[in-house]
Amino acid sequence: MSNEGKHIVLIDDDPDMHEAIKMILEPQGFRITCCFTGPEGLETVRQSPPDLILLDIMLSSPSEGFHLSYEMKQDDALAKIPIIMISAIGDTMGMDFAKELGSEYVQAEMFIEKPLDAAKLREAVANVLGGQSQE
Amino acid sequence: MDQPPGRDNSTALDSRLVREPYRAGALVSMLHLHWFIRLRWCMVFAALAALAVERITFSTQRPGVGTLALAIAGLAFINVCWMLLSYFLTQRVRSSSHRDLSAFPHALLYVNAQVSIDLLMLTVILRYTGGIESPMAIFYLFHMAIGSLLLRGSHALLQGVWATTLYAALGIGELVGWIQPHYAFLPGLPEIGLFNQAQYVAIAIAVLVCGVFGTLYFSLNIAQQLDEREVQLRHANEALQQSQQAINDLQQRRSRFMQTAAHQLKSPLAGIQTLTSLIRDDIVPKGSLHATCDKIIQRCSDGIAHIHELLTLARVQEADPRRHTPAPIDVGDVVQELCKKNLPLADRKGLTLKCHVPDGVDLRARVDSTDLKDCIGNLLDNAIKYTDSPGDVMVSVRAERIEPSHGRWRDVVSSRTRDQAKEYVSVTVDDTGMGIEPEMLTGEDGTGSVFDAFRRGNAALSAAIPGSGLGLAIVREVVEQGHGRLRVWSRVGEGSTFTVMFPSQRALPEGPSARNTRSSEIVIETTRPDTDVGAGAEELNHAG
Repeated sequence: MSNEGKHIVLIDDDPDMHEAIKMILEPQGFRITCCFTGPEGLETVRQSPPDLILLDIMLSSPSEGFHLSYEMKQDDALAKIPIIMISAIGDTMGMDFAKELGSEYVQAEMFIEKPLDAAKLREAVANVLGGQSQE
Repeated sequence: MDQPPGRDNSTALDSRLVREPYRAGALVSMLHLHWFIRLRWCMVFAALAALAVERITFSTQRPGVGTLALAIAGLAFINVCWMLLSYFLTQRVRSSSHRDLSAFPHALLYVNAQVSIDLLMLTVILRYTGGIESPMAIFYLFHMAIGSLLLRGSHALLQGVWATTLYAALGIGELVGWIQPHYAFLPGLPEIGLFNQAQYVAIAIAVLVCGVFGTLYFSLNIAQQLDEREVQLRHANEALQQSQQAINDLQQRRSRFMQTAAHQLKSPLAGIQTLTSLIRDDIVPKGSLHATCDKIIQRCSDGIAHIHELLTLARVQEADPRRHTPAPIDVGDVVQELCKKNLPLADRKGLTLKCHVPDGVDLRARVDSTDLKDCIGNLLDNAIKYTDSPGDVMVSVRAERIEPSHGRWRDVVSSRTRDQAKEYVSVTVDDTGMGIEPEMLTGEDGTGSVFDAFRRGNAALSAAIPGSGLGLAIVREVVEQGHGRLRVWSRVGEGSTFTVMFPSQRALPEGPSARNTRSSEIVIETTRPDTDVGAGAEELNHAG
């Protein structure tokens, strides 16, 4: 399956992660748009709905990523876009955060823990996009 | 269906139990345990057993034994009725934690009726067991003790009047011949005939009156003490529950803080590992290797800075007053020192750093010097970090006073009564930087304000400026711990003005116990404060 031209929006406040993810995924043919904040990311996603969203959990607040994913999944135009949550918080702790907000906030298709492993990230992206194309 | 009442109902009941002048707790216990009814069954069986023993022991048949047995049977029948009523009430009152408030007036009536009828039945039994000569009159006192334990004081006194009236009616009735014939206490004993001696009857009635009201007096006093004790225990229990809740909240906050802190410490490490693995896997282009290594070094510095800020926050949050020494310190000196220290950083960014410390004004504040340096240092660091060239950062120190009656600030020029005004030394850090979004200042979006740990403004994130989100949390903590005040004005694209105020050294020192009380408030100003100090501001340069 070709990834040529597939659009990924990355929302992460860490510029190094922007660079690292670009290095990992751009050679695969993905087009990456990087955003530093939740509002900026939401605007980008609404203006140009991507094929996949990579979303950090801790942005301006420790749980902004969950709020953002919840908001996107409530929006009919964005609800079907898969989300991979990427955070140093770890998926166990991430789930704890989400549980406090409410189970409906666990809206991501997948959790990936930082530090990123290039092979694992590529595999996760391929799985999520592959699963989506099979639907 | 009988539903258990809700929590609110239970709370209303609890407050009523505290207010009620009768021991509602004992009443509920009586209803639950049926001890009053069980006690009456004991009396019934004891009376029947006494009659049986009497029948075996004495050859002579007791006169009126049939009527006496009928009275005891009547008592048993009444007790069955009380049992049924008790079952009904218990169903309504249910468990002690789910008591139905509406059941209580009926429960009180229920107990009053039981005591009244018991006294009447006791008098009937007395009538057939020696009348006023019967030693069983002692049971009047027993009923008074129960009544004062369960009833309101006024109700218990009325029961006392009822008991003495019944006893007096029996005695006087037999004396004047309205009640006939007189029965002896025991069938085999010779007739004493005291019941027709007016003096004896008068003395017996007087003794009973004293006994009844004396018992009531002591029992009601004890009951009142028990009431007070119950109220005290209830209050202590409530305080304990509140403390427990506060501890739970604190533990939850601490746990959340630790999780977030762990994340903040892990982020730079994760960045370092990610970038390093990209180098190892030859994913980083050759031309970018040097830049990537610089990034790794920068992430190491970020991590060290985060740890430093966490340690600073932990230190200023330290509750032990011995760790903080709020001795008088010249704020002007501290500000000048910090400005000089930050000058190279401002220079590198092409910013103008101005510092104004007025001469001849007492700028000594009562605050821990390390705390103060952390506080001002963070404000200054933020101002430089979030201001782009060309831009200005201005730090000024003033002595100010707050008039409580007017609730506004004024310069400490006037010498109004110091006991009515609070004197402060304020430090204002003003910049022309990127500013903070209004919702981030107020925390109205529900995710906390920039003064909360790890909360960062979106403008700062958009500009990819590294930071831990702890700087303003440290500032707020120092201000709160130092019983100071914090004011802020900010507008995106225009800049920010932070003012921190600490009690002047002339102000009365706060006791150590006052530490860790959230005494300060953050005032968000709608207009930019006037920070223009004219020619008094000193523009710092490398020459000094």
